[in-house]
Amino acid sequence: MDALQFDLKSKQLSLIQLPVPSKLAENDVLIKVAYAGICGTDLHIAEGAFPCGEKVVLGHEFSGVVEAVGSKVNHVKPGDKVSVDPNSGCGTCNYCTDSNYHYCEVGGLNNTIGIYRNGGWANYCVVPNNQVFKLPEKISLEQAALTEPLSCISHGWDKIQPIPIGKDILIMGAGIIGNLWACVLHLQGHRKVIVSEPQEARRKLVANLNTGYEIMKPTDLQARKAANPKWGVDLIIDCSGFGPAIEQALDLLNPGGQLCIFGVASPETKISVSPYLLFKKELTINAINVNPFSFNKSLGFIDAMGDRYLAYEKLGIKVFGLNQYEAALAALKTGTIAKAIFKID
Amino acid sequence: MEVLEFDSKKKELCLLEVPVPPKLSDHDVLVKVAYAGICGSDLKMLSGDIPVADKIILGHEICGTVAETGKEVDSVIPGDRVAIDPNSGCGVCPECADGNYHYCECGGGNNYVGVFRNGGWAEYCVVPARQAFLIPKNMAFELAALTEPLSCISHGWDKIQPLQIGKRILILGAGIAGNLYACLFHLNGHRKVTVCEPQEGRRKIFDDIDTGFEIITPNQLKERKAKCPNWKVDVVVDCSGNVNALEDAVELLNNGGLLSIYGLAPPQAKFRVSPFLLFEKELTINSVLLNPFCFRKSMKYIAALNFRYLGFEKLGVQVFKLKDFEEAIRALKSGCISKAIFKMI
Repeated sequence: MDALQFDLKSKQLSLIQLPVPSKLAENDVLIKVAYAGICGTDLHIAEGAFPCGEKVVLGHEFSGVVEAVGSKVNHVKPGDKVSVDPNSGCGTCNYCTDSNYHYCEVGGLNNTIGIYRNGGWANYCVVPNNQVFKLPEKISLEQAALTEPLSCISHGWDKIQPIPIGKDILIMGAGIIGNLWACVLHLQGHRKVIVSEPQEARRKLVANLNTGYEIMKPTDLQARKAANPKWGVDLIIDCSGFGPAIEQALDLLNPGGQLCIFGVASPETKISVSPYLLFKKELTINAINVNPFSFNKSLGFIDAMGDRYLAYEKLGIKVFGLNQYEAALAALKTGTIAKAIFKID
Repeated sequence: MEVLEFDSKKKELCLLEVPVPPKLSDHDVLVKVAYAGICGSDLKMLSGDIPVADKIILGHEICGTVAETGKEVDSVIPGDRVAIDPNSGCGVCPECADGNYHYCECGGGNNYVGVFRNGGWAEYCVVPARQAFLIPKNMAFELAALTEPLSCISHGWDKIQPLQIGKRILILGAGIAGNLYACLFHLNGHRKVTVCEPQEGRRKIFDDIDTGFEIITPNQLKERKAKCPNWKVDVVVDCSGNVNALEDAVELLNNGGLLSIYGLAPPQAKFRVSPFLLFEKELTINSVLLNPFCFRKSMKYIAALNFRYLGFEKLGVQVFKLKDFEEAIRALKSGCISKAIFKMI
């Protein structure tokens, strides 16, 4: 089978031939991959800026069809359409037994499919049964490729509650994550939302979602604040991971406001925070890490959103073949598309 | 009557003779002050770091006896012992209507008794009746003087919930705020608490509270961090307002950890933090402003804590006469006491 393997030592991504995994452990599921996304994290990995296995088939956002199941698997059968949760925990450590399996030092980020174990940028992938989710009737394989990114947003959404309708919200960054946040907010009735994005192409993409949200440049935001120092927002969702933007965001918050750090900044980036400002406005800073217990919730979102929100052309998603990976990565980096997804036949 | 008036232009605190306020409006009460505390924020007002009215009688931690009531007041009668909540909102702005009266721009901090209207460093003080809370019959008068500081801690307490027994807690600073937090942690059954305090005098006072909590110096904390990199805490409550301590503390947090900022830092001070670290460990930073809806809760805590925790000699609280204000302020700044309270009776 075709597989896109990353070599950590040489920092090289290569299309190689691997045998289709032939022997399944009793709890494993062999999946014929249909769609597999390229995540911002994958870009960081490809640059060597994010830890991963030594030689690993990347791809942690994917959907597919069950090809074969191990002897003890009974919740899915060959032919079922499924989506894969790449994260899991060991099940026995203190984090796992406290319901925080995303902090697990054995599982968690350290055992992620497509980062530490072979993932979905291949024709086939082997996954433990408890990470395989059968798709509801209405959800297509195409839409299901978004289950993983939406599951992370779903976890973030849970962590920032309660957000009553009518609160002023700012999304920083209109890549796919900012766009999906806009969808989640719009679906749930939020109308007072601003999206800030420096790249013109991405501002056009988010306008396609037709949410009626105000879209502006970061410099416009600063100008608005300068013109009216009393203007502010109640919630900022950072999807940019850009230090200076995160730092300035704190000044834009209303009393009681919340900054939600969702975009992943580079490990070296630091921001300066005034504790007095935090105190005076009683601000909260919340960071979001992956998707514990959020896969079914994400499927719930996808079911409710449908193509009104999730059609690929609306979200700025472009489909590529595995052999077009270089073009896919390049398009993603330039910002002409919001996301690249491999369609694997 | 004798009062301590602060002239914020000259930065001078003077003991003066002024007439007892002669006429009460319909909804006000005249309180004969029994105890009035000196808060850390009072010291910052005296030094000009926090804005106050031009000429003002300070003192926002007040208890006393009702001397007279306006004609519409029916919640208290002359002779009742009351503790005064210095904070209120206008009641009609969006912040007040949303239950956040501590963000109110007309009330809130800007209508604060002892900051923007005359407070309790005086023999008598006029306050709106709805800010005068009846002290339960069996509560010692002197303990009621702690209602206001403990109401702010109570708000902070609510903001770190839920917090399971067994979580490891670090308190930065063993002034009165750190001590009161420690009392609440102990009362609520927490035993894995470490307190970090640079001043020897304060460490000794802390030992007198007899919680069995570990008390160490910032250097010892640094040494432990170097020796045992696995020693992590789940919650840091900052009562120091020291940005270096904050920077160190963020790195001690466990996955899913919370930094709660209670101590008041100088307005210009900033701490540096890595958004990647916040993401990787899914940290939360929040802050605590004043005491919304916490006065009654605070009185209930006082009833439960009582002399076991709150006896003045245990807490390191020293009582002074109004005329000895210079000595009181000096003692407080030196750290040989954790709090100074004026006694007027």
